[in-house]
Amino acid sequence: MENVIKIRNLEFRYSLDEENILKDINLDIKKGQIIGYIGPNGAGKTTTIKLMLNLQSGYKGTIEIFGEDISKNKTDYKTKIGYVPESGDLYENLTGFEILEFFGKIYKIQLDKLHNKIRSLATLLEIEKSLDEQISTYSKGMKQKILLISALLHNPDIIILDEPLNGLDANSVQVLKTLLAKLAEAGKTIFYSSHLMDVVEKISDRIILIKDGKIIADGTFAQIQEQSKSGSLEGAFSHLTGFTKSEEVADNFIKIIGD
Amino acid sequence: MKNYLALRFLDLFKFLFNLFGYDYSEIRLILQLKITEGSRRSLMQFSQTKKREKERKINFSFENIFFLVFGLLFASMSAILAVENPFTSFTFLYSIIAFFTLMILFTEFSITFFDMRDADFLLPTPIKPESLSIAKNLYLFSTFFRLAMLMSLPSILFYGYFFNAFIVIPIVIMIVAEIFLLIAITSILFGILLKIFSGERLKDFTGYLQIAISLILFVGYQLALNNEKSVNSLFEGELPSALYFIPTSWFAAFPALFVKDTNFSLMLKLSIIAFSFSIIGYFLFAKVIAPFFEKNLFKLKINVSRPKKKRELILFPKFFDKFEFGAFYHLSNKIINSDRKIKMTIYPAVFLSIFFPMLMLYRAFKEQGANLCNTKYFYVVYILSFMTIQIYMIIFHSSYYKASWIFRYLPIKSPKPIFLGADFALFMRFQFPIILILNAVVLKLWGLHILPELIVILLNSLLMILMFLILSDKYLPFSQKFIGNKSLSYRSSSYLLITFIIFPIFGLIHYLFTLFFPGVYILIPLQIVALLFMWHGFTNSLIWNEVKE
Repeated sequence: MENVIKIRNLEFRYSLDEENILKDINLDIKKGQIIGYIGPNGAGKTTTIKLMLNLQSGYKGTIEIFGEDISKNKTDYKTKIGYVPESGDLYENLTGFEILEFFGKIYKIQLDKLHNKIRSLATLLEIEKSLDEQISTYSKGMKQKILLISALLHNPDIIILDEPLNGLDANSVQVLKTLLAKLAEAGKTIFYSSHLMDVVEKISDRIILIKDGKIIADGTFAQIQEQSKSGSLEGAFSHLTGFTKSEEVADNFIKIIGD
Repeated sequence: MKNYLALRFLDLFKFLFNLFGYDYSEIRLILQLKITEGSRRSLMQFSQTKKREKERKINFSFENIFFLVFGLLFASMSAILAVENPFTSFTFLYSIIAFFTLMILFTEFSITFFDMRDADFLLPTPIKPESLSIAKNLYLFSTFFRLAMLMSLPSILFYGYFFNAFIVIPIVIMIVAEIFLLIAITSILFGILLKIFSGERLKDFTGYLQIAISLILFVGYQLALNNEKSVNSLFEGELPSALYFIPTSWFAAFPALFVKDTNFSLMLKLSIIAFSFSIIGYFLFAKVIAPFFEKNLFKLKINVSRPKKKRELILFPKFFDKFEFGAFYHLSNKIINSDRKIKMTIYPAVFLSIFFPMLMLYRAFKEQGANLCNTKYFYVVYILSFMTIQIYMIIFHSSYYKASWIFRYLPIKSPKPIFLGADFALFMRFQFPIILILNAVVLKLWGLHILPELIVILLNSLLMILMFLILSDKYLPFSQKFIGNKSLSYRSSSYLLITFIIFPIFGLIHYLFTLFFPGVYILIPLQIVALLFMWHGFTNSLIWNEVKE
């Protein structure tokens, strides 16, 4: 199967006096894969995504998307990418409809088709009644739904999601999980970064674990289980990131609050 | 989104964008987004609740009317000056535009160029960074052109009538040139900051620079008004070389060329300087600085933790620990200390509150000399209280407004300690130090014999603060979101107005009691009784049922 994302010897740091945030990252991601990109806070997950989207310059190594070096083709490749950012800060003074219409126009979707798409997708995600209200009145979950629609509106080939379940209710989480699986079946590549191990475990067909800017595990859930000798992804995560004292922390916590 | 008039006007120049190889439809779309967002945000936000379309329109119209009224006020001055010397009048007009534009430009500039949402939402799409940059430039320009035109419209109409209708063209051309230069200067300052700092320090220094520029402008303006003679001699042609150092006179020179009896050669030279600086400045901004901003936007998000110096800024901290509100006093102090927006709103108010009385004292001293101690000029201390009262409206707001849930969650029977802690923190941190400084200066100039009168002023000021606190809406401290440049609700503004109207009555009572002996000594106990009565009223009004969401 063809590689849609190819990363070679990727290194990055924000300033010269700092340590590298990403250290020699090498990745080959194939069409139709669902990648669960996990790691502790500050491991470099969001930075990897930002580099893939050309939001940050000054990295070493190469990133190729659809076979093109993104440092040379800075914007065109993004027409085939959908992105849900980690931060849910939207343009608060615009309505949900206005934001989605804006995105649709940027992706050059025909206006009639765009308006139908927006209304239909909003109905499916149960936010159609609030579409004409300002984003500032939305709940966190509603904003997240707007972000999801904006990322998928143009039917992208690669979908990059950075903590997409923030604020979503249980039913919406279920819908999103099923949606991602079906999108992957349809040949879409999904790059999913999250802290929620149970979701990553269920939806990903390949899990990449990053710690301190380095990839420390890469494989299917079964392979990760094998490598860590742990039954769950949560256990594997703790084992591989070297965090084994949760019991000790919890015991000490209870002791201190009881004093 | 609405198809704004500015966009339809811009469509006329579509060919220019295409000529230079830019994607016009993309630029137009981003500009439409920015204008829609900006028009709903409004530069002078007075309401902070969920706004409906009608309310938004009122706000936007209010802003337009506000600048137009300012324009009308200045037009009378422009007209008086124009009769004497057209060049002075034009310089006055461009100075007013520069003054007001720079006051708002810094905030608007940082909102427009340092909008992290652009990095999160627009740049991951196929939008070209140069389209985003051009759209932001256009947005900024259109915003300030609108304001400048509103401010100058009455003056322009007068000039058109007084000189000739064609004078309007060079005046408007130079307004455009002036805005170009102002944007370029601001961008250079921001560029330097962005080069040196990152993360929170960048945001801090941007705020400090903004305050510094506003204050320098304001102080400079006041000092110029206080040196009328030198300003007059400057424009009467006695010091032509000095005009090269006054940028607003460069812009005034071009329209002055079209008016009779002006020094043509000097005006021509100044006009060339104005055009050169504006074009080079704006070119530098559009081609070098704006792309530099886009590339370095991420620096705003870098957070390098700096070890904070442990310093005790709070007065008598241990003393307040004895009281119930002590914990809230400390917390409020820490919130104020860490909230950039609160500091940026309060610091200029505090600075101007002491600057004005000091300036008035200086003028009085110049006029009266040794006779000063026989006058009542020390009443200027009232101005300080008068001006600082507005800081008590700011305490409802915070950048960390979402964290205010903590106040509601706490198992305390009454919100009294929360309010008292926050108000006391404000008083001790901002008002008390400047009261102390100003009173020390006044005592030095007048002597100890006026101490009882200063006590009367202090007690009157405390009465006024309490009156405002009783009247004002009981929002929990730090619980409301800052919107726009200011965050004063209509109701709070009206309460402030009532307080301002009543305050001179306090001053009058003070004066009447000084007309007989021992008037002041009778007044002080009366004030203390009133203070206790009002304190009782204030603390009793602090109940959970009265607290607003």
